[in-house]
Amino acid sequence: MTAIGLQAEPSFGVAGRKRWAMVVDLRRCIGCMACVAACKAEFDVPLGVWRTTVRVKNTGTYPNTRRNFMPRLCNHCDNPPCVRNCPTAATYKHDEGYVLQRYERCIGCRTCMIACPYNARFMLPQSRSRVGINNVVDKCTFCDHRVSQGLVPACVQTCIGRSRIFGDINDPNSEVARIVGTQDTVTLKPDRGTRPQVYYIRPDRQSFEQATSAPVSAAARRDAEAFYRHNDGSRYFGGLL
Amino acid sequence: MFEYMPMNIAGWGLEIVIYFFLIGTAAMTFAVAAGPATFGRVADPFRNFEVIGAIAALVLLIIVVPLLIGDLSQPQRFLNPIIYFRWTSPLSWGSVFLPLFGLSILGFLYGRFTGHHGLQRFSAIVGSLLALSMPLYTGLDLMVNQARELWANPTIPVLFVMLSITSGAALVGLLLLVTGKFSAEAARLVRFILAFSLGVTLFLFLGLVQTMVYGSEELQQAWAAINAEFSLQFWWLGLVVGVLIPLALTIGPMVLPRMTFAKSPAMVTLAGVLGAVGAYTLREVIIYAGQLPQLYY
Repeated sequence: MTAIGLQAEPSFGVAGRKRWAMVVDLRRCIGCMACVAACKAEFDVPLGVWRTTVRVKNTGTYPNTRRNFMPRLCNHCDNPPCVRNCPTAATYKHDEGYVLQRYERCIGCRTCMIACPYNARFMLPQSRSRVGINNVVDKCTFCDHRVSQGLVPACVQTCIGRSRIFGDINDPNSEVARIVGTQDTVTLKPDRGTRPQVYYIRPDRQSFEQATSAPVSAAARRDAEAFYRHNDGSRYFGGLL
Repeated sequence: MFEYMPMNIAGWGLEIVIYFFLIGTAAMTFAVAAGPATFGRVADPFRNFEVIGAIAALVLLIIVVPLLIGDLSQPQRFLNPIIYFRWTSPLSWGSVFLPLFGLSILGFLYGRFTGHHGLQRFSAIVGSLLALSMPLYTGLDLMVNQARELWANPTIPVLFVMLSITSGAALVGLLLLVTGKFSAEAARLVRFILAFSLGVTLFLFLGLVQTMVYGSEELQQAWAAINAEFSLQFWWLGLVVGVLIPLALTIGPMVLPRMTFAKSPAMVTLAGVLGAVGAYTLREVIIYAGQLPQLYY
């Protein structure tokens, strides 16, 4: 498959090039949100937006119930539609597979947010406490600043259950390459042709399938209610939400 | 998936809906005004619309450009899509075509007022092509988003062109009627234009409905959202008021000789205005509803 409009050719499976990827083992995630907190601290992510988040879903009926956790972040796709659609190349494809953002170029047209099948992008609010980057689109960077120094992303570093595993998937000796090569992993919405590079080891079908459902668990319901409350009457959608 | 999806909303809202509607209207109004200079005698009934139409298109352009820039969260960087032009982004193409379209209108008016017919004709032809690109690029802006299944449909740009022809014809009729220059021959041409655009719109509308009803789960979500939240705009204002009634008014005289009243400039204008209502609401529904399923899915 060819990928058009990228600044760097997709590096997945290309010998001699790095391709950073993440595996999330859903069997190990306990929903402690340490990854979310670490990410927030690393980047001073403002209230109300997240570079990474852990979604919560309850399945089954009493007494056969289960609480499922689903960490979400940018999938750093090998064929990212956000990069193709950005009118200013503010979002671009790095040679090692990251999808990154040039804040000084972003015009805030939100095209990349529209293009992302994973809702992984968000608009930074106008005022922030410590960082002077406002009113532009932001997203997870796979902590490229840490990885370039030989560290792992903040969320991976802090994950107490080792649910998040990070590495160069092109390196056959890396843990991610071994897991993706030998375990039953899945990616999100592979049908969109984005070739996402966040792989999930799923505990069971029911907890993962993309079925339409209203928010059932208390945490999800609170999230949804807060979302509607914050967007109601906003300039978008004329109060529809 | 609702519980698993981060709820970030992109929010292409009212500003974008109005922009898409007005830029399409401006574009097709100019195309009609440029008709005599482009096509010669065939478009002669619009000869007295050249100046009015071009000025109306220019005024609309002056309204919509600040609207579009103001919708950006970094409006001071509005030139970046031209400076860092990206050929894979329809928005980049649009940001190049938009000022060129404005220049074409100015060139057309300059040629018209100074008697420089070569410049006027050149501006008319180039401007008409750029006018066509306005609704096309706005439709492509939606179509290229493979993540939004309602939009990722190759008929969307064509639909937007048809909706723009309808709203443009409405403004043409309205301006000619108000200025007392709406001749019977011009009314006949506007009626044919409307019948064509509304007829194609009807088929594209039905195609869109079929796509949703028989589509993937996300498309069925869009279908549910449209029926739950936008049924008034989609079915009543979009289909009945915006397509079926004006289509009956424009096609009626062709098949029913007794419907002579529908040939009058006032009735043609009425059909156009109703069609413009549909052109607005259908765009509104497509833009809004196209963004909703991803919140839930």
